[in-house]
Amino acid sequence: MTTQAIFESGMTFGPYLEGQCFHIEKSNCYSRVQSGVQMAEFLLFRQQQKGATMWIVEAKSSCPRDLAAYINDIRSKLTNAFMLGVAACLGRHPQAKDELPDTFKNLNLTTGSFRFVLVIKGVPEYHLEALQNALGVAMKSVIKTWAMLPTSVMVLNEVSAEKHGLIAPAAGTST
Amino acid sequence: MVYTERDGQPMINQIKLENFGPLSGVNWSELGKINLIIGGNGSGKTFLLKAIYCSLRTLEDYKRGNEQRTASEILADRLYWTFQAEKIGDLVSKGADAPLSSTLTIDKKLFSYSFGKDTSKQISTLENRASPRASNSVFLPAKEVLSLHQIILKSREQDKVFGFDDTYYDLAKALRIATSKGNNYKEFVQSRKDLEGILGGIIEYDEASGRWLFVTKGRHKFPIGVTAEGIKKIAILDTLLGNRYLDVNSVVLIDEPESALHPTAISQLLDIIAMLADRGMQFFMASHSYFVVKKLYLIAQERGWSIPVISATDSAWVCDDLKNGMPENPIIRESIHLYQQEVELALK
Repeated sequence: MTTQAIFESGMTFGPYLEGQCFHIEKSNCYSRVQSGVQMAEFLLFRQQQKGATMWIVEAKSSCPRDLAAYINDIRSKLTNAFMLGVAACLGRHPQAKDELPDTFKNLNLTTGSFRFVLVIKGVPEYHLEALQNALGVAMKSVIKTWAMLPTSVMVLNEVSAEKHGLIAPAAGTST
Repeated sequence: MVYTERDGQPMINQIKLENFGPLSGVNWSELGKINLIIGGNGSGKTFLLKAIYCSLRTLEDYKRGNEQRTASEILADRLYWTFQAEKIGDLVSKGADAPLSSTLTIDKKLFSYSFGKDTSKQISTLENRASPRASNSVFLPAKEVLSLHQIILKSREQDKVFGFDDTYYDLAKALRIATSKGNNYKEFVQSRKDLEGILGGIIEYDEASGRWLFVTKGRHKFPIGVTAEGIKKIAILDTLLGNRYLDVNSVVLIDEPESALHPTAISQLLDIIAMLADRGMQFFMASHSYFVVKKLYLIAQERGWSIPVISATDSAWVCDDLKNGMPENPIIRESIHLYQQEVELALK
């Protein structure tokens, strides 16, 4: 069983294995808090080398014109999705009881890892580093206060997102 | 991981400097196997490396063989020939009311001294609780020394004039030692293989002509003068590992490891440095290269190492650790700024 694919910013995310994705932007628990709260697209559960990891994913279809505003917008969405996700895991939102997959409910929030992932369609690879640096600086307070790994922020384009199994291969391309 | 008798602890644990030329308020503690100094041109990065070098070399000369001079006399000579000021009192920060002071904690023992601006030779206060060191430390300057090897030696040994400071002179002397065959630390052997892999050959000293030659894997020989600057820099480290001048208790200070090196070679060199640091050597590097900072950050993450970094800002020296993330500093900001410039250029 897999989840339904998510279409965002001209890219197809998933489908992922059942129970490993929580489409937080379309969730009931978000609909209750939506006003004034920007939200990233979805949460993904990944079993990585260093253990269970929650990815918080935001998708964009373009490069920024105003970098500061762009990064601030992404920071806000990723941070809110992280906080709502953790609150849902802790059972603070009754709506999440039925919609949040057990994988997330069972995630050990003390030892589990987190990754903030921004996927931008069409951005050249040589730009990714600077964007990752800028987002890393913006997310630093969350990274430090939650004692996350300094490598917890990633900026990918659709090519590297596909390579990491985040988005489906484009039609006609081999996997 | 292989530990030395120091049980994996770095040799220099802390550095404190006050009124030392452009350096004041430097208090860098909990030092690691690899330590990084970053800052703009003229911020005092090289000065800081040289200040560390003077204390270290004093402890390494002190009581070695038949050396008779006191630590204070050795240090005064070291400061004079390393900074090449008319009198060592000129090293005291301009306008400072208090004396220059330096404290180095090495193997958890103190080596500290201070003197005022009127000092010519006699260092007024020196406290040494550190043990004399049998190992050699080395300073690798930003520029290579092989092409100037004989000129440096003549300038210092025959003419005894300012021009090439002690960091160059010591290195030129160290390179004079012939490469030894036989047992060497296995990490050194591996490092030499890797360094020679980057170089595509080795350097050899030709006794007959008194010149260095670059010898390719196919044994083709080229004069060192026509060899690329970066190759000469890497060849120096290779030679010092081969002739046993360096050992696992050596401290290596590298000024701008990035100079004249391709980014790929920078990464390879830093991987080799990490291997040597893992074996016990301690490294201090001054850099303003994004590649150096980023690669060391990745080494800190991969190996779970603390890599302390001290940054020169407009008002103070700020301490951070690459284990905790990339430091906020002008090098990183510039990478973002360049991106913004390109986007503006493309969209206007």
